[in-house]
Amino acid sequence: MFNIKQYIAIATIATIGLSACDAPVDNSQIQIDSVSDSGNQMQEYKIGVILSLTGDAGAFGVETQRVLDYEIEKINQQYKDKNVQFKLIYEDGQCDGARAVDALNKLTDFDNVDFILGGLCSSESLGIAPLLESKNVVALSGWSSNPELEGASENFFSLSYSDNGVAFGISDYMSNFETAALISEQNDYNAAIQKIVLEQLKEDGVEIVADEEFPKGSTDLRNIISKVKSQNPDVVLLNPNPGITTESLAKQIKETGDWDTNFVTQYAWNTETVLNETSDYFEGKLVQIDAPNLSSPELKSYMDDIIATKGELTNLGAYYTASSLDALNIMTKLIAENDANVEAVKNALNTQTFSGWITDKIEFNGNTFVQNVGTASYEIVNNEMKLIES
Amino acid sequence: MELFTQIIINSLISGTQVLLLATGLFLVYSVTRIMHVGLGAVAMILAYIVYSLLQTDLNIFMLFILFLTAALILTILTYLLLRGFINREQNLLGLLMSLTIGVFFESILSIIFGPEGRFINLFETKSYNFSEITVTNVGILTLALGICLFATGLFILRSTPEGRKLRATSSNKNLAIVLGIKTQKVIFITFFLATAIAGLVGVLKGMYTAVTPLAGLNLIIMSFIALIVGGPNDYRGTIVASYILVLIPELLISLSIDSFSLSASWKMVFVFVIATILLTLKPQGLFYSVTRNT
Amino acid sequence: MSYFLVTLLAFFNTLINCSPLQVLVSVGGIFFLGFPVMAKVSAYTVAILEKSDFNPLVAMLIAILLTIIIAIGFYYLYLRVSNDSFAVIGLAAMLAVEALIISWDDLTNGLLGIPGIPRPEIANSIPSLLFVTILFALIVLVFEWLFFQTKYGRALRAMKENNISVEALGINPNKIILGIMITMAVVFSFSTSLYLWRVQFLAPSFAGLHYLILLLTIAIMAHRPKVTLLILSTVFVFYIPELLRFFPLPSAILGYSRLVIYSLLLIVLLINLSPKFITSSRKI
Repeated sequence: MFNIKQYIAIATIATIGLSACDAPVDNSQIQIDSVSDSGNQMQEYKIGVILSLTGDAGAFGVETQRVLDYEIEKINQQYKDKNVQFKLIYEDGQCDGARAVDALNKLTDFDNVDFILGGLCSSESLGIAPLLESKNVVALSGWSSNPELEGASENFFSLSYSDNGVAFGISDYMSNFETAALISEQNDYNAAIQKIVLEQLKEDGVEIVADEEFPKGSTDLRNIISKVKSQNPDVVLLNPNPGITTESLAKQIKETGDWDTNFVTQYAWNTETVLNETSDYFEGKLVQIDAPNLSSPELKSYMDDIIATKGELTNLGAYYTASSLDALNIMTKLIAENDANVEAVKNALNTQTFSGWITDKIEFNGNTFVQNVGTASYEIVNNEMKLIES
Repeated sequence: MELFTQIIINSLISGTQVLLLATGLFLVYSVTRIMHVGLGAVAMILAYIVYSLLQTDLNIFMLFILFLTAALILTILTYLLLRGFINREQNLLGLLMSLTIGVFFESILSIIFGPEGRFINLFETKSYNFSEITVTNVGILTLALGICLFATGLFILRSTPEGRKLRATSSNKNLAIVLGIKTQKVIFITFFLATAIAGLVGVLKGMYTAVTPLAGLNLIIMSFIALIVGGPNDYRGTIVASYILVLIPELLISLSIDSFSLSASWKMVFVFVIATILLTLKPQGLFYSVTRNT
Repeated sequence: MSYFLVTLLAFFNTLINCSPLQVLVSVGGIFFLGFPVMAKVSAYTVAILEKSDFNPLVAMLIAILLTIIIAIGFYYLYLRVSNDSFAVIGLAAMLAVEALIISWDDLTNGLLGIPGIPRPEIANSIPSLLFVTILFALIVLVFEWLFFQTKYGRALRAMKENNISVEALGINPNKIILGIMITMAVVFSFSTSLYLWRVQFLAPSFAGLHYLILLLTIAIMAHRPKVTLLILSTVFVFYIPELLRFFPLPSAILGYSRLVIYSLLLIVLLINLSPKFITSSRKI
């Protein structure tokens, strides 16, 4: 009937036509047809979510989505009696600032959302933060941690502890030694930690014998490990992104055999696979600096439920599961209480104290990052991370 | 000295993986003049198939048979899609089709397995330490397989009728047809060999480091560069180029210290510089020399 | 409506970039993979200068000059090596520049990218930026159409068939290539600036492998010297993934599903493309 060029023409006209259509209404509340049990109309609030669903941080983003999907069902159940429901609209930020900006534009202009959970990666948040005020949108991230986000926007908040906290904890530990080496992945999270640790160690007079970086996602790290080992450092910072990179780094260090040094790392090490396969090597040698109070049985049980219903959380870890849950709970609570008023929600975030999995006192007090979250030291005991000091 | 030796050993192993994949590229290019860059994604698909089969209790023989069956199916698929471009000598469009096939395969893998990486545990990895030098059984296997494959390949190419048919098709396809050689069959078998070798590289990579759905493209880039630098018409050049492009950057980075220390991210800068120098000095390939015809 | 305007902006930006690429790769048969280098260098020049309080238009002019120098560098490499080798050098250059940008964080801010890039007065809103972009796109497309009507456009097509005959007719094909590459440098610099003013954020991953594949796909699909074919190819390749946004696919696989459907469509299209694409070998 049609030739190929005509098919292309029809498809593209249809696409352009569809993309030119506006959303049906111009605000973030819509009245849907379903009627609640009490016979009243249900009010649905939309929340945009910018996560890295594909790309290098895709594993992290997919697991975060599992947590959010699990929790939103519970939240909607709780709010059903009040005739309020929430809908999450996901957009893929691809761990890239420019993609995150496109995602933000799509969510605000096409889906008409005023509230954003995200970005996930710091680069996503760095991209969207400067645009939030002009768009009159509030964003709450459970995950972005780069210190450069501090003060980036009055409308941006993060429940992640700033990388500053972890980095200072790491450098405090490393300052007890004479020579140090760093192995860092080239990722915005790892780069922030590396930068602060280097500055602090230089101030403390620790000799840096090696400062190695490897491209994001690399899995063959043997030459880097050999190079660092040949410098005989007293302590080595292992600073990869969680997931396959950490597993590769752990295994390949183990392959090298005896290495008379101490290791320090961040939360990336606290995954089941890494601990099961390499604990025998690192036990007694490795210290992890991470957020405290996250080995509670209640959180573990909650995570087990999520894993059973939605899937694995091997990359996310306890802290970011907790921060994902808290971000969603805080956002939905404030939207419902303030009838989706952006200014009111923003003021509430700045002034109120919230209780959550991370801590009982979640406060921003006009800052970007949550206050009152310190760090703790952990060590490996019987294939698990045990708290040493908070 | 020990660091230097360790770098050489590690680079020989990585270089062998690059060379194996470049061999697949070389084989396909020699008979079709198409750069089959989708081989990277094919390598990952076969690696993930092996990974999935290892989760069952199959013995090694059945695993091998199923691996070859999967390679055959992938060969049929890619060959059918590329056949038109091969026959019409549309090299650029063939490259684009191969690239698109690669994107398709990688996306399918990402949907099925997610973006997480996987380790392939065909057998337990053991490391052997000699003073400060470490070698793993997987690394030794990679080197051994590489040597065996090259030796076998050279023997087949030089001393068997099938090898002569392949060389004839590569040299002049039309003349080969006139001589009664079934070039389509030769091309198909070459595709199958390239696919199987790519699958082997994928499995080795999964055992030596890890595989991710999107790793195929990165894998094929180095092999593609090695093939062109070495000269796409001379396998000796491909061999030498594969090792040069891995070894020299690794040595420069690993042996740089103190204020001259370079991170691993500088590797591609060195690859670029080496490739540019070699291509400028020897644009036809490393072993090309002008001869006088009498 | 804003979302529609933003995608239209991105579309015209892509169209502008693909125009010189169609001329060089598809029509000229020169497989040049180094164009992301031009885009990256130009983008970082504009971003760094603007953040240092340079006027955006002055920053763009300096970026154009710098990119022209890079184009001339690539041209000299082109004279020295074969087509395949030139492709490899371009690809390796792209990866090398990417590595350099990430490593040189004192200048480029490394992995964090450069946020908050200011817009110039003439394009300080999406509608005005769209107007400037469409205007520039029209200029580029008209220029391309005119080029194909001239003897240089015909010579370029002839070069792919038989380089020696073109030289025998007194036309220097290398000068044509130089002209195209310099034009490409100018076009890429301008379109990169427009992109930066739209997004106001420069990530180190900008103009990477996927950017190369996208533009190359469009250029190769527009395999004949026709501006309408270029527009159609760009519309198809750019807008089909947008169409897929309206499919109710699960979010976790949304990105990959789009890639699957997009690549399938591309495969179908490539199989159906009429084969009038003959390459010739160039002796050096």
